[in-house]
Parts: sequence; C-alpha cells; structure tokens
Amino acid sequence: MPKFPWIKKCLILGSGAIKIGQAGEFDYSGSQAIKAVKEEGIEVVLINPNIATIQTDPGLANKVYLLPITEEYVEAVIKKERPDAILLGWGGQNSLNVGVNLDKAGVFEKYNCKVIGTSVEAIDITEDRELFRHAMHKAGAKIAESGSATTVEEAIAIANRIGYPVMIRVGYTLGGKGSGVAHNEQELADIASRGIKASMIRQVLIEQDMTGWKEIEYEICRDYDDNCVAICNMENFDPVGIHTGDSIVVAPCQTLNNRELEIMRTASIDIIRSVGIVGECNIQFALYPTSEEFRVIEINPRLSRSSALASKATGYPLAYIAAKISIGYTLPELINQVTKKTTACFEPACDYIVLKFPRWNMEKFQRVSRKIGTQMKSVGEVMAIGRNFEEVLQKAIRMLDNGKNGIVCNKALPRITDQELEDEIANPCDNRVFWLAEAYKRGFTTDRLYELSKIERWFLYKIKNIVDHERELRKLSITDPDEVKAPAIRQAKVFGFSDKQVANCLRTDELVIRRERNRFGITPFVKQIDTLAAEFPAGTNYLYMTYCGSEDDVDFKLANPNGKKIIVLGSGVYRIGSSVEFDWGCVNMAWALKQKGIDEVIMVNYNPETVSTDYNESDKLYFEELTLERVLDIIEKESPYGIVVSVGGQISNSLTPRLVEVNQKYRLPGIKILGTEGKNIDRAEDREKFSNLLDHLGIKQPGWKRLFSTDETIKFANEVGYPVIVRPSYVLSGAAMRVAYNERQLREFLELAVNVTDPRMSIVVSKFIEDSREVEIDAVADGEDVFIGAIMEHIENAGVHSGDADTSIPTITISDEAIKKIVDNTKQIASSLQIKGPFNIQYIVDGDDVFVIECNLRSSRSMPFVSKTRGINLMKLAAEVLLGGKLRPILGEEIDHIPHFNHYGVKVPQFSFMRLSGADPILGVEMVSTGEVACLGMSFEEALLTSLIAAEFDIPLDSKRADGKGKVVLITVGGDKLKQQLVPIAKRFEAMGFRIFATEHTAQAFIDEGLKVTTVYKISEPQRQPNLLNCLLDGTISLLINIPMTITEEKLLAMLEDEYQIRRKAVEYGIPVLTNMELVNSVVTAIETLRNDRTGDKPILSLNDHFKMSDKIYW
Amino acid sequence: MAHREAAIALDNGMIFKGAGFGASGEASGEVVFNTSSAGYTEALSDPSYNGQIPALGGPLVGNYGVPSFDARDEWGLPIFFESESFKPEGLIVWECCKQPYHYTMVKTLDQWLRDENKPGIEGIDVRQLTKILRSYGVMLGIVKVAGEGEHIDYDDLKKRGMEVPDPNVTRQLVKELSVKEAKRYDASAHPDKHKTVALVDCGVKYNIIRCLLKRGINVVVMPWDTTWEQVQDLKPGGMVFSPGPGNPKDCKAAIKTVASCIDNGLPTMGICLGNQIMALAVGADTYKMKYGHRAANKPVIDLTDPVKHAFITTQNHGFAIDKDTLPPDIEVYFINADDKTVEGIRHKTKPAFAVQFHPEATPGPYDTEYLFDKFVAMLG
Repeated sequence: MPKFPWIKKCLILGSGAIKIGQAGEFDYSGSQAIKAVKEEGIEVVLINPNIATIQTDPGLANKVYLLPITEEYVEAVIKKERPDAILLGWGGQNSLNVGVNLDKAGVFEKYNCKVIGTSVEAIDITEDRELFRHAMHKAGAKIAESGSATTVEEAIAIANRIGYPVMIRVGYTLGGKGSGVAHNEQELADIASRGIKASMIRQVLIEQDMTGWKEIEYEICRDYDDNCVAICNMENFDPVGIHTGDSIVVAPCQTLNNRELEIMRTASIDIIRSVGIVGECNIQFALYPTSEEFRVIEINPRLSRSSALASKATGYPLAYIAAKISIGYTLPELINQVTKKTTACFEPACDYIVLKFPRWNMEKFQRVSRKIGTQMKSVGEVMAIGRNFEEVLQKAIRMLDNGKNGIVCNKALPRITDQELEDEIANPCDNRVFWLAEAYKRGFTTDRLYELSKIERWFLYKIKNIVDHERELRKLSITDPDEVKAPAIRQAKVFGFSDKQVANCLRTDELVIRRERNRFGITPFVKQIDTLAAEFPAGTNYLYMTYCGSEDDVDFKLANPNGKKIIVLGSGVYRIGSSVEFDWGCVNMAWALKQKGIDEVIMVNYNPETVSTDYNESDKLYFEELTLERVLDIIEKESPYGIVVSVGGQISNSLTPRLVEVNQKYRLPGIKILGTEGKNIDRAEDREKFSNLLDHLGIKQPGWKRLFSTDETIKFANEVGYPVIVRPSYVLSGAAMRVAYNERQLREFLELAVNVTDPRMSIVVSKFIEDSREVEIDAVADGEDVFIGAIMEHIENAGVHSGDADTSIPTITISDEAIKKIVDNTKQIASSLQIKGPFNIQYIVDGDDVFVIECNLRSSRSMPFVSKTRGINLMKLAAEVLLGGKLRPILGEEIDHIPHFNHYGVKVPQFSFMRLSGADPILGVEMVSTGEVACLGMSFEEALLTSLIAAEFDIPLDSKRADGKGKVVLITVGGDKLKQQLVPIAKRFEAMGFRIFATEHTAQAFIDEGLKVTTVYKISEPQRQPNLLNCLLDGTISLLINIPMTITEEKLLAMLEDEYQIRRKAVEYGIPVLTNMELVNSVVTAIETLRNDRTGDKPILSLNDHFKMSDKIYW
Repeated sequence: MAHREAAIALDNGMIFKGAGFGASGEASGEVVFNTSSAGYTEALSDPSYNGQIPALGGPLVGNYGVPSFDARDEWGLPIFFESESFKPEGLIVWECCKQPYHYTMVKTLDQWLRDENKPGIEGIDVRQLTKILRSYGVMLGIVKVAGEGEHIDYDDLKKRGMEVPDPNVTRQLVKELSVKEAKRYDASAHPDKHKTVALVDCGVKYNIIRCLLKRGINVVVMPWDTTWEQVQDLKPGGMVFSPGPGNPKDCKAAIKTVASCIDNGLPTMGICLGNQIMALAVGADTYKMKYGHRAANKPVIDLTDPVKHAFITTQNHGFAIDKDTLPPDIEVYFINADDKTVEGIRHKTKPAFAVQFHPEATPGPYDTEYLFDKFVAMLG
C-alpha cells in the first residue's frame, strides 16, 4: 500500500522542555518524523516550545509553532492550520496525553484532522490498566496480579488480596512518575495517595511486586497490513525494581537463550496485534530468573527513550520508519536506510554489543535521596559500542563525564564496612557498579553478590574480570620487559581500560602508555554499524572503535585522499547545564560546514538521545568517547584538516588545553583547533587569567582574588565584605559555585571547590553584588568584527544561575548607557582575546554600572534561543569564521547595530523537582533545571506567560474557579522587608478577584495594610486548622508564593524546615510555586495584562511568521 | 585454561590466527557465516551444518552455557537441541564465554566441543571473515587447534588449506545424518486417534517433528533414500521432506519419491533442502549461491497473499531454486524480500508446497509456524 493520498498537511507534536523521563530523544524522533513526512511532499507543521531543539529550526518543518503543548494551544494551531493528519507518538507521553484529550473532546473530528499511526483507542488500551489486562488476556500474555484503585482504601483492599510487597503504578504518567514499592499498609497509603493525585485519570494500579526478575524490552514495528518486525531486544543489567530509565541496559540480550528470547518476541507480536499498534512500540517484560515464566510490565505505544536507544544500537531508524508506516507505507515497501538496497522489513543483526548507562545529577540537588528504584531519577544517558561487556561497560562509565575512568582506577570510594557495602549493593544508589567492584576486591563471592543484587551472574563475572585484570596490571611496571607488558596491555585494552587506567596501574602517564601501545601495535580498529552484521555491502558512515577485531572497516588510504575533513566534537552526555542546546550547536555547525563545501564533516559523540548521533547528519559519525585518548585515536586515523571544539559545550572545551599540550609536546599531525586559539580559550576559562585580563583592559568586574590559601581568601572576603562567590575554572552549570554569606560557609565552599577542580586550574573568589541585574550576550567574532546576536536580561536578580533564570530578549530594564557599555566591553574582550568563533559573556548591571563576571569562548546554552529569536543562525556564522571567513560580507551594516527586535522572546527553565523525592525547589548559583522552553510574543507579558505555561507552570490566568469563588494565592515569606514588598503584589491579586491566603505572620502584615486575608497554619502545627498541608492537598491553592529571606544560609537552618515542606509539597501536588521576587512581579503584571486575552481569537504566530517581521534573516 | 594456538586456513590461501577452544585437532569443511547472535545450542545441533564450519556473527558466544540433552519433552525430544549432537565440523567465534551462567546450564560451550571432539577457534574478527566470504563466496577451509604447548606450522597449514577436499563431493553428507531405519513418534498414548505423516530425514531438525506432534500428528521418520514403494507400504496421510546439508541433486531417491507423492496427490511439504528437492522433482533446476542465507532475520514475502504479507524467518541454506526453470503448474509461494530469490513454491493444483526457510524456527522467530497448520489442513 502506498502512502495515503489525502494527507496534504500533517501536524506533529513535539515534546516541550527536557525533564527527567523525557529528554533529548524526542528531538531525534521528532526530527526523523518531520524528515520522513516532508520528503513525501506533505506540508509539515510542528508545535514545540523547546527552542533549543533541531526540530524547531526553521528549515526542517514547513512551519514551527513555539507554543505550549496543551489542549488549548494545539487546538488553536489546528484551527489556524487545518492539517489533514496529526502524529501524536513522536513527542513523548505529554503530547500523547494532549492528543488523547483532544480526540475525546471531539476537536480532531471538528476540524477533520485524523490521528494517523496508532489509534487513540489503541493508546487507551495501553494506558488504562483494565483495558490493558483484557488485551493481554486476548493475546495470551500474562501480566502481574493486579487491580486498579481510585482511593487509598481500594488500594489497601487489593494489596490484601495480592499480598505484600506490592508495586504501585500510576496511570497516564511518564517515566513512572509517582510509582513505588510498598512493603506494608502504611507505605502503601502514602504512595497511593500521591499516585492518585499525580495520575491524569486519578487511578493507581496495585500489582504483584516482581523485584529481582530480569527486565527485558522489545521494540516492535507494525504496519497497516499487519506485518510485524522485532527490531531490537534489550536486557537490563539491573533487574526489575530499578526503573529501566535508571538501569544499565545492554543490547542485544546477552544472558537469554533462544527459547526465552523467542517466547517473548512472539508474545510481543501477539500483543501489538491485540492492541492494534500501527507504527512502533516498546514492550517491557519481567522474566523469572529460573524459569520461562514471564509477565508483561507495560507497553509504550509511541517512540520512547528506549526506541531512540534501539535506533542508535541497531542503526535502524525507528522514528523515521514509524512515521512512514503512519502515512500509509508497509514495511516491505520501505528501504533499509543503511544498505539503501535491502528492505526495512527485517530484523537487525548486531556483530557488536551496546551498553546504555544512565547519568544522574543527584549532587546538584539539596536534600535529594540518592537511592534509585521505581521512579526514574537520571537526567541523561550514554551508549557505548564495543565487542565485549567489559569494554562497553568501561567505555560507558568514562562517557558519563563525572570523573570516573572506568570500573576501576578511580578516586578512592568512601570507607565503609562490609555491612554497609552489602546494603549499598542490595539497596542501590547511583553508584552500585563501583561498589560491586569494591566487593570483589574485598573477596565477596559472585553468589553472595547475586543474592544481594539479583544482577545476573554473567554480568557480575565480567565486573570480576575487570577487577582481576586491574590486579594483574598493578603487578607490572612501565620498566618491565615488552614481552611481559605487551600482552597485559593488550588484554587491558580488550577489557576497555583507557590508557589513563593502564597508566594509573603502571604508575606512569597516559601519553607514555599511548606511545608504548603504538610501539607494540596495539591500536583500536574502526568498525561500521550496518544493521546486517556485514552480510551485505553497505556504504555506512556509522562507526565505533574497538580493540576486539583485526582490521578497520574503513580504508583510510583510499577514501577521499584529498578531501578536506573537519572533526566536530559533540556535547556528550546530557546533564544539568549541558543539554539539547549544545547538540543544536553541533548539528548546525556540521550542516554549515557541509554547506560551505567541506568534503567530510566528522561528528564525534556518544549520546543516543541526540540528533548529532543520527548518522544522516554528518559524513561520518564516530559513536565514541570524547576523551583525549579517543579523540587522538580518531585524529590519527582520519588526519583531519581541523577540529571544532567550540560548539559541544564544556567537555570539548575542557579538552582543548590537553590537545594543545599534546600538539606542542608530541607534534601529532592534524591537531589544528579551528577558531580561537587554545591559549586564548585558556585565558578566558581560567578565572585568574581572565580577571587579570579585565583589570588590564580597564573593564570593571566585582572585586576578586585567586584562592591560594584559605586564610588569605577569608581576609579578602572581610575586606570586600560578604557575600562572596566561589568560582572554580572550567566547570559547567556552576558546579561547586556557591555564594557564601559568612566565614563558616566560605570555608565549607572552598573545600568543595577544591574537590571538583582540576588541580592545575584556578579557583577565584569574588564579591557577590546583591540586588543587581544579570545580563548575557551571545555573539560571534571573526578576529576583527563582533556580531552580538542579542543582549539578554534575567528576570531574576543576579544570584540565580543563568540556566535557571527566566531570560528576556530584548532587555527590559537596562538603561541605554549600560547597553552601550556592554557592547563596548564585549568588543574589547573579543578583540583582546582574538576571538574567532562563538562566545558568551555574562554581566552584572547595577544602574548604569556594568561588571563582567564570566566569558565562555564557546557556544552557550542560549545560542539557539538567541539565533531563533533574532533570525540569524550564530552557528552558521561561526562556521564561516572557523573556516577563515569574515562576518561583514554576510551581515553588512547589521553588524554595527545594537540588536533590535520587533517581538519578545522569553526563555523559561523547566524543573524536574517532582521526580526527585525530597529535592528543594529553590534556586541559587548552581543550576538545577533540567531543560527550558522559549516562546515568542508581541509583548513581554505574552512571551513570559506562554513560556511559563509551556514549562508546565500552571499559572492561574482566570481568577475565578468553576464555582464562582476566587482562586487562592497563598503567600508565605520571611522577614519584614519581604512582607512589605509583597503587600502591593497581594493587593493587585486581590483587585483581580483572587483570594489571598497567608501564613500567620505574613497574614498579619497584610491585614495591617488593609487586605482581606485568610490565615492558614504551618505544616509543623498540624493540630491548628485551617492547615497549609490540607490546603495544598485538597487543591484549594492555585498559586504559591514563597520567597526565602534571601538565598542565604538561612535555608539550611531548621527554622526554615517548614518553608521547605511547603515548597516540596506544592511541587508534589503540581501547584505552581514562585520563589523569586522579581519573577512574582513580572508574573502578576503579565496576568493583569493578559488574563482577559486568552479566551478570544487572538492570532497565534509561527516562528516563520516572526521571521518575516525581522529586519535581517541569515539561516 | 591454558592458551592453545589455533588458526583457520582458507582455500584462497588466507590464514587467520586465534586461540583454541573445544577439542585440540583439525577439521575441514565449507566455511560459512551466520549473522544470528542468539540460539547457538539449536543452531549448532542443526544437521544442515554437517560438513561446514560456521563463523558466528555475534561477538559473544556461549553466554548461557550448554544445557542438558536430558531435558526432554513429552515425546522424548531434547528441548534445547535440534539433534543429538554438535553438527558442524568446527566453530569460529570472536569470544567463547569462559564463565557462562544459566539455570539450565550443565556445561560450557568449550566443554561441549571437547566432549564432541570438535575444534573451536576464538579471537577471530568474524566481521572481517564475513566480508571476505561475502565477496569471494563460501570457501573451503581448515580449522586447527594445537595441543597445549604445541606450535602450529602455519606454512604447512596454509598449503593444506588450499587443498581441502570438498565435503559435498567426497562425503555423503545427507546419508551420514539420516536414520538408518524408520522411527515412529506417536502424538499421544492413543496413536490410532491421530493421522500419520512420513518425514523423510535428510538431516531433520527435531522441532519439525515436534511441530507435527504438537498438532496431533503421528510422525514416522524415514531414511533419506525412502522410495515411493516404501511410502505406499506405510500409507501415511502426508509427506514431509526435511532440511539437510549439501547439494540437493545428490538426493536422487528423494527427488523421485517427491515426484511420485505429487503425482499421486499425497499432501507433501518440503522444508529447506526439501524445497530444493521438490523443485528438482517437478523438473526445475537449483544452483549453488555465492554465500547462501544463514541468519534468523530474513524477510520473505508471501506472493500468493493479496496483501503480500512479509514474515521474518530463520534460514540456513547454500543452494536455491532457479525461478526461471519452474514449470507452469508450480507457482512461487514466497520470495526473499532482499535478493528476490525463491523462498517457497506451491503446486497450483496438487496438495504440495515447500519453503526454503525454517517454519520450525529454533533458533529464531516462530512467525511461519502456521505453515504446519496449512500442511495439517491439507491432510483432510
């Protein structure tokens, strides 16, 4: 069957901001869907407020709407665009839910827009547990004993029938939000009440707890003609009980025999037929470890994190194929995208294995529990490709970029007793694999470790192999004879040891090991991923490196001998502070270099969630580590013309000084860093060198001092006065950056900073300027001219990390005088550092005074925001400059203008506090948001509110509830000053018809000023009613304003425990919380301006419409 | 376990060095590749590997060890194997798992090869070997595993590698495997209640027998050279011609028997070698493929189906039917979705069909097991 002829225009829903459980993988799947549909001549319209994604670039879809993915906005777009069809499954759970709701509300029918691919009826089956049970019964597949409950009492009754322990799962949610295991009635009551509240359908499922069973996943495709293929099977290292998003996963399955694999494969196909999936779906199974008993855990009737992983693991582009199926094609009609000649109706064969490792960021959060379990907590993941488990495990650990060299040869773990060690293995945190290695070192047996962890012995044996080999290596010395060293080093490389690990064991430097290795001829091989294990010739460019082989698949001598090759270093693992916005930079850089005639653009990255690791986006993709060793390996193989280090964010940037050093010491050919010189990158990144430079240029900065000794630093702090800020060099997202308000804190923070900083890099302490504004610029310089893309202003006062701040383009309160100084300072810095490429400078503005606080000679988090708001692609400009070109011929006079905008763009962070049990939703100088959105508007207020809604801030625009009573704003703040500041705010809310609730002292202050206030009592005084906790629980509160006194040490004190409880509970019950005075001000103004606008037929504008209004477009 | 030198020598003079596992010694045969990465106990007991040395594409082999032959189903067939022994001449892998684990395991893969006196070689870049076989076609070769402490004379091995006799010529691969006399499997304790099918054993896989028994059919396994007269003596309700190794043209008796079955309207099903035999029986020709199909991910399309359904199948064959030689009363039933080779044929008027792939799977997907239902339906 060919494609449906009636689809002329198709709407695709994106995923919105990145949050835990829903990350960059949806940029990959959405981009693939756009491509698959658009190349059929169908007009594609996309809704996605995540401005940092590739899919929202103006060139991909025909039209992009940077709008919230909510029923209201999606309907507005449908009304305007009148698409014939809509794809719901490419944007994650949220867009699926919105689609289901719109379908049920009759909106699609009203506008004659058809859901293609998996139907809403089929989606319902997978989401509603009772329908699901029925469908599984029809397919002959067993599910765990279970029952659904809408009240805690029902939940307890079901648990009594099944027997404890029970698993509580929440219907219609993502990433298992609100799920948990209960061992008794009390735990059950607690989890169930939260789960019922979190569920869209107010329903939880109580089921048999299968903790310790093997967890297996299948990715299946099915077309309208009922052809089915199982593209990939995957096995979790961590058994059931740890969320699959928080589990180490291998593909294909390694410990299952043919019967086990085929029984579940057949069940998968029976299941998707029974459910009626069309396109792609993921099925999770629990397999009893010592029988063929299995249970279906769940089905995701959409593209998912697992499907993105499976696509990268196999080379089979699931999102692309699923989109083609949805528009009518059958699998046999489609072509294998790698071989370009065989059919897509097949099942990939792997002659390698892959391993996914989750990346957590728990240390970023205050009060968070580091235990992992049924709720996903990781913020990103990496995938390693190799040919044995030891190799992929150690590679993956290095890819996490958290200072670990592999399973072994790391900084010493904390000293704990055997008893504690057993507990770490049985009740894991985010570092269990390292404790397993430690246990082997202490002589634990595999059987004991299995008993504790239920991790299949095959995996445990492999960890033991690594530990044993480390022991062998440590017996050696670099001075040993070759015939002793060489075999041990060779085996180490086969087991995935890095040169650094080997060097650590042999007590030498990694470059010495590299030299020795090369002398022995122990070098890695470049292998292709071709979906068919070499059975058919394939011109694939999807590559990895391994020591388990005998030849390169690529002939480096033959291929394009005179071609100009450029390597682009990717952004690596997603974590807080480095996410899809850096991948946007890498992909745009690769595209731009290609456009400018580079013969071979080579991407290096290992993050399966990205577009940059789609092998279609570059001439060659090395799905590889971004370590010095591996980058040198690739340089040696490829002999490139140059390397781009300035677009991948902090990982590639930090590699620069090492590459420069190697180049100087060893004169390796091909290490030419394109753009700003390595030494100038260092002058900007090293805090001391940069502060010296500013002093030299006469540019103002807050008083500063390099840390040499603690006492000296404290003396400095006393001179300039507290608060002061501690800032390590070469860190991203403010790791270990802290504001100290007194000496005790300063001592503590200095110690922390010393721990995270490379000893060769400096740590600087500066005066922290309070109550000032923070401004950033994103720019590109060519050595002569500087083009400032935009000047951005944070809505919050300085002190909130730039990644957590709400940010406006253009500025809203900055004086012309200050703007002029910012432009001048920017040009001065660019000129003195001879910047050639993208850069970002952060300023503090106090009245007309401007202070420089930081400069990064690389792509920044805000580059896509600036580029799309301005209509000028800074990465494309940067590519021109990196190749030696100039800006002026492209931009003309535009280059001299202070950035001018006909609209506003506001970037709003997305937080994931809900998923991190215990985390305090409060902001400071260390970044804690997991993603961001940015919407454009014709006014600041419109842009701000649209963005807040897009970031799931459920701002009450209408002041009245359904019953006609006023909605409630709860205000609770400490200190007289803040209370007074909030009086006018409360009055404005009251004037709009909101009701004001406040805690005792705040209420008194308001009443004194003539406000009508209902007093509520603290959580810590549960006997007094009305109590705050009840108000939060029963949905009385529509908006919570809680501003901690200052962002100071007070929050650490017990007296503020109550405020923490309030904020935390509000997060858990989905009530918007505002914790910042400036944001409160902006929000109240925005509500006033816009609350009557939303019901009318106001025009919604696409990014393309906004572009038409801009003076100059360069994209 | 001590390191043992090992190497493979191919008939084009190439030699690959690795490390030995399994038995020390030497084996020769046709070197073939299989891209499947799971199901090695079923694959390596598949009689079609007689005379061959497979190289397995998945890098880690033997992870779940080898289960017991004593684990048997209600009909006495081993659950995890397709015959009673290791069938290839030797084995080529990247890594043979030293420390496997599975609750059903009784020995390691290494031990299984030792017990069956078959040499194995690891440390071979199977992808590299596959690329060579893919471009040169399958080759003859020798696998040699030295004894502990012994050294291999590589020059000598290389020379002998170029003179390996073709087992398809020097050996009677099918005869070696086939039962010597008829063997009966009853579907239940009351065999009279069931229909009976005769299965001509050219190297049968046990799951074919099981697939029939499961459907309530008694099975009489008969020797590879069973004649039409012998069939008539038995009076079965239908005939199945099994898979097996080597050139189908060597199975002269079976070709004649199939022809008689079809002529007499006896319901007949051919699988793999049985497919090729049926083609020869109706007057079509077969040819040797460059490197065959050996995998568990092969798409085939049912051409007789209005929506042209596709199925994923397990395959293990080096010969194929020449489509252009098929007589008018035979239609192509299935084709390979990739290279469009014939994957099955069907008689237009008589109850006879055959498939090139393995509907009995093991290892691999069960998607085409429904073909046994079709066959059983033909029995009336």
